[in-house]
Amino acid sequence: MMIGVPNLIYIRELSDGDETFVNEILQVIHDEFPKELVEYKSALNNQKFSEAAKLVHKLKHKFGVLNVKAGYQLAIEHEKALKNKSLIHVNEFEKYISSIEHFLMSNQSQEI
Amino acid sequence: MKCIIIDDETTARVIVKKLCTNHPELDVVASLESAIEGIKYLNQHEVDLIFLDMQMPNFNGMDFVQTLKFQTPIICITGDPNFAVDAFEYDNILAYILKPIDPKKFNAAIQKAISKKESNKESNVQADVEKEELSGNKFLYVNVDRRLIKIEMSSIDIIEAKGDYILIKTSSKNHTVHSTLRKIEEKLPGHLFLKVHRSFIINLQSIIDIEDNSVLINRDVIPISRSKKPELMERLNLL
Repeated sequence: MMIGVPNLIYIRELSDGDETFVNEILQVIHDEFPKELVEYKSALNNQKFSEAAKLVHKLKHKFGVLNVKAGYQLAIEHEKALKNKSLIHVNEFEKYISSIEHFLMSNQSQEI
Repeated sequence: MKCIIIDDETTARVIVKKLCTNHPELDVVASLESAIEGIKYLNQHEVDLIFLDMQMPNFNGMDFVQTLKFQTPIICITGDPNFAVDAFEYDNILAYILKPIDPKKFNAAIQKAISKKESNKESNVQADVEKEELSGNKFLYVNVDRRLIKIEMSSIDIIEAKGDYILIKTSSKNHTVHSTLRKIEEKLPGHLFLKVHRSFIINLQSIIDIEDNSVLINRDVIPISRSKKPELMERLNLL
């Protein structure tokens, strides 16, 4: 399995076979991720760095839950950089955002 | 153990709640989106354990810890390891877990919380409130988070029952102790203290004013139960 591809390994580990829980978590991500992404892009476009950092903080948790560890670590750095008004990690972060978007759209996952 | 979850992230609240289901001792009584909601909830309810996110907007977890009136045990859950440096200055913070939560670390933290609660119960049975006479002065030793704190009895103004705890109010400081009014009443000099209500013991010498059904001690208005009023009046006449 490639590092950085969203998957349900972590969620399934937590679920202990409880599919209701798995569906609940996925529903929350489906509901929240698109809104947070729109707000994040708007904040970047308007150079509201502090606001963008807060949204990266929220988006970061989705990376963690979907087991995108490298994306999670990058989000930590990106959040700090934005607080210092730096856009150094924007492009890299965008790649991980796209992978989550693709995962949510297709609702596919890669599992071991 | 009644516990609450305070986290602005919905996924985090759902996950913590799920992990709690693996521990039958835990009863999640509230899941709250902000530290302010947490404060409001705790003003109305008592809990045994708090799961607290440290990074929340406007009023964060550390602000919450510093505002908390009681030493309720806390398990900190956050994505930022830097908070650990400040967190361990507080005795009631039992554990610090990074997100995404490792279930093994979560379970270990719960065991720590349960052990702490059990050891508090044991020290209560073993009398964590002890009396000592020293040079004519009378002192109480109370157990607060495994530290013995010495309190001069004459400095105690009010003792209030707060669920599984009592709040000892002195002229300089308040102490929250895992004990009962009944236990501490046994240790107090009877000529100085009186239980005036099922939730209050007062120092008779601290009374500033008396109304029909209450007494004023410093700025606290303490209710007097109807059954206790005759005894109070009789005792005051003897002072």
